[in-house]
Amino acid sequence: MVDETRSRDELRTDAGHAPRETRTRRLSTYLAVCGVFVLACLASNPLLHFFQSQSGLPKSARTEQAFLEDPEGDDHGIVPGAQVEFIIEPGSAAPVPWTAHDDGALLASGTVYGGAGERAASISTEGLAAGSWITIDVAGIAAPLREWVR
Amino acid sequence: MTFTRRRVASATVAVSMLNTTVLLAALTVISIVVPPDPLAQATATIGIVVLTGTLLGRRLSASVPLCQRLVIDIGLGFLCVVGVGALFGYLLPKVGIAHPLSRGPLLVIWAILLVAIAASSELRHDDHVRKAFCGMRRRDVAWAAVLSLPPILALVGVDRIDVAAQPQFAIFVGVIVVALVACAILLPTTRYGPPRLLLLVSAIVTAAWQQPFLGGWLSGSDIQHEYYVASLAVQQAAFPLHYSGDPYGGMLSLTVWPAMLHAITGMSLRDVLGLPPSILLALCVAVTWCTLRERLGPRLSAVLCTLFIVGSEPMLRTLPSETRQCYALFFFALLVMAVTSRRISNRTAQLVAAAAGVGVAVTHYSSAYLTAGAVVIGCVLTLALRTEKGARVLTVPVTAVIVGAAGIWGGFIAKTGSSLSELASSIRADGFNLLPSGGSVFTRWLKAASTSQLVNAKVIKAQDEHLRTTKYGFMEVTSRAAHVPFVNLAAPTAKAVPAIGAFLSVSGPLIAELIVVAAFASVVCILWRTRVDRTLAALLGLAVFGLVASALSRLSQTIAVDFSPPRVQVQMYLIFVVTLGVAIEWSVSTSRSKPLRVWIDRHLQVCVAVGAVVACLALSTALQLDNLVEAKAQLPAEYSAVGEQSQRIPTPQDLLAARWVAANRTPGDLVQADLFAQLALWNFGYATRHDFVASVDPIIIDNRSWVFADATNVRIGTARGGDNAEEGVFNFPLAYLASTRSILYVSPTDTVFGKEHL
Repeated sequence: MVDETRSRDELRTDAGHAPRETRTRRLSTYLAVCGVFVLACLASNPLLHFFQSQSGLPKSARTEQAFLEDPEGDDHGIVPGAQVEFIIEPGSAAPVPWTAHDDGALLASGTVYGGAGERAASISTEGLAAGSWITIDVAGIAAPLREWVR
Repeated sequence: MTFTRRRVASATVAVSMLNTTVLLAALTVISIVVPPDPLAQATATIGIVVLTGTLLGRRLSASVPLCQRLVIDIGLGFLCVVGVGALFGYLLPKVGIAHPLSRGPLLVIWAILLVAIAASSELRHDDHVRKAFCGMRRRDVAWAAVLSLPPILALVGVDRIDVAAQPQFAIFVGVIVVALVACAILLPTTRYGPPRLLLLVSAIVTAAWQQPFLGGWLSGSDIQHEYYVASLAVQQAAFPLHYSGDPYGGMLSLTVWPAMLHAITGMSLRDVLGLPPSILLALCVAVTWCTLRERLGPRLSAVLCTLFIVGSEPMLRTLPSETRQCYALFFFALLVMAVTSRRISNRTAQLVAAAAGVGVAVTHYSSAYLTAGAVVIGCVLTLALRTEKGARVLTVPVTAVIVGAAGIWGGFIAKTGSSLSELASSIRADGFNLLPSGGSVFTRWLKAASTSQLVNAKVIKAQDEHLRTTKYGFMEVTSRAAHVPFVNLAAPTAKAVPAIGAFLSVSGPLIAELIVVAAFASVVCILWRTRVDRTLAALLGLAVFGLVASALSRLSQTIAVDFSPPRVQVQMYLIFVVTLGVAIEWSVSTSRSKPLRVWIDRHLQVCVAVGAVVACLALSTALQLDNLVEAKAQLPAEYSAVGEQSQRIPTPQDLLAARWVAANRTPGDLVQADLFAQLALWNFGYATRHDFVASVDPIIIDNRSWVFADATNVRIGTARGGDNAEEGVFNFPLAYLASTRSILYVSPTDTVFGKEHL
């Protein structure tokens, strides 16, 4: 038989549950701990980056890359008259100049804009003799791109 | 002041009222949901393992010491997490969820599981997380926080080498590692002093974290292929993988675990492969420490842990880049603890042993075979020597579970049959090829069946000429290739410090051989003692198998190719360290020599100091710190920005170039790269491709192949040839390749050459 003089909270307490005040306190503590944890999580990345910047370690720089758009597409080099297309990925915001030679003679030159992403460029090989090399020098890269004109 | 104390006391009471399980579950859910950051990633990983592990291990008796309880819970938790992943990864695609190991499905699965765990804990008033950590003192937590700094310093040291080519800080960190171990042995036992185990754990994590991120990517060989398999797991987000290249695709440590961590926590695969495995190595030390401390004092336990585990070179310098074995070793250490422990009840020990055996089977296949073999011998000896039934851990059912797990998982999921048949056919073809190197028996023993000896490039040239007419007879090679100069090159070596260098070059190998002798003697001692103490039969079985396996892998070149001696050594040392502990305990307890005891008591401090010196010497050798002062020693990559070892490490730029090759090569065409440049390509699956040849010796460069030249080839001009057994360094044929081939890809560090045109 239910004792109607006792509150629901007292009845729950009698049944082995914590009293309301304790439950409220526990809940608020849970929320406080979780709140502090969320703040700590959100702060940990900026803090890490701050300490990294303070440690004096420069981030490893991105460097230029360049590659032929259609590498070895035509099994043994290209035929005279075909376009040589190539891609440059600048390593910084600075513009990247390039030059193309045909066995020493300047064939073409240009500059691609700096910044992230790929920049396409192309060279015409109209009038070139077969059996020569097209060499494309990209600023910042020691080795050139090379294509055989067959 | 009083007010502050009251506030602190009030907060402490408030926290002590909380259900820790519910709190950890809440924090874990939050960690999974919030944007990925280091704190959330660590909390989520620890949370799911601890919550599931403590739930499964909540029946563990309170009599089991805290440390043992925790390592068992962690083992069970890891097994549960990968088991849940594998189960859902297998089942959900059948009901239309194609990628169950991706973020969405895993978020739902883990949120439900964590809420269920929390609700169950609250409703049943069963705070199993608090129970698991019962007995942990606040000062231990404080020391753990302090000792977590050296591993972070190790990462800073690596960064300084990678970015600024300054190794001084890394060397300083190496010295810190030695100091931590010295403290673990020498410090007197005081109330507020650092726990010795935490010192050892910090030392091994610090030492291990000096390696994986060298070069700016991942250093080491196997880890590159592990990255590829893990990236497949992330892409496919299901289990088993659609991949039949090798058994890596069946290992949960390389598939489900990385895919889950990546999906749940947002951790990059590089971090998943670089950071957690070293923690597992540290847990190996913790498990062994628990096992030894049942029988020996803290200082002697610290000395033995250092000599056999922390000071083991393969443990520090090989395993961090073979991550799958780190997980397996942890489970193997648990198995050894279960077999040996006196404090764990027999029933619990059997369950832990079975779970550990399953853990080894699903994480690393060759460790699983060794485990199965050891357990079978242990079970046979248990039965043959009639160990009383109440003391048997390796019973027939337990052994059947372990061997069955290794066989079923290896046979049907990892599909390791081909690896075993290759080993069998190699033995049939070549025999065991015992002690292959030249010199006296002693020299040959010391060199053993090493899998990576640096030889003169002339040896490589002779091998290449043989390969050109046999294995690579199909190649079309221009006649000009024969005229390209092939010059032996050597990387810079250490400047010797006369007396110290000579002493260290002798002491390191001497201590290593003395450890082998001590291990052998301890097994003989256990054999003797088993006559009166039959409970040691299972340990004896493990140890006998360990001796045979170690000897075979060290002596046989044929077996060493598949079961490399350092890796077998690491696993078997987890047995020998315990056999030595048992042997020492027995020797001391049964010694009737009163003068000996009196002498030991009087000179205890001297004994401890000698033990510390020997342990620190072994550790210095394992860290390769001694290489900095030994004559003609290779400069270790962990402590030098130049030298042979650092030239072998792939860089991020190498990765970019390798990715371009993988994306643009014409299908069916051959790709070639030198012995270490190939590591960058392994990240894109080239470790198991048939249309790839690891050689840039001109006489075996096919006219139709693409040639990938990495930073070492292009900037330093050196290349490496040979195979797993012998490696040689020679000049990279840059001018020859540039004069005859198109150049398809360039960066300041890497070049990709096309087919021969002239």
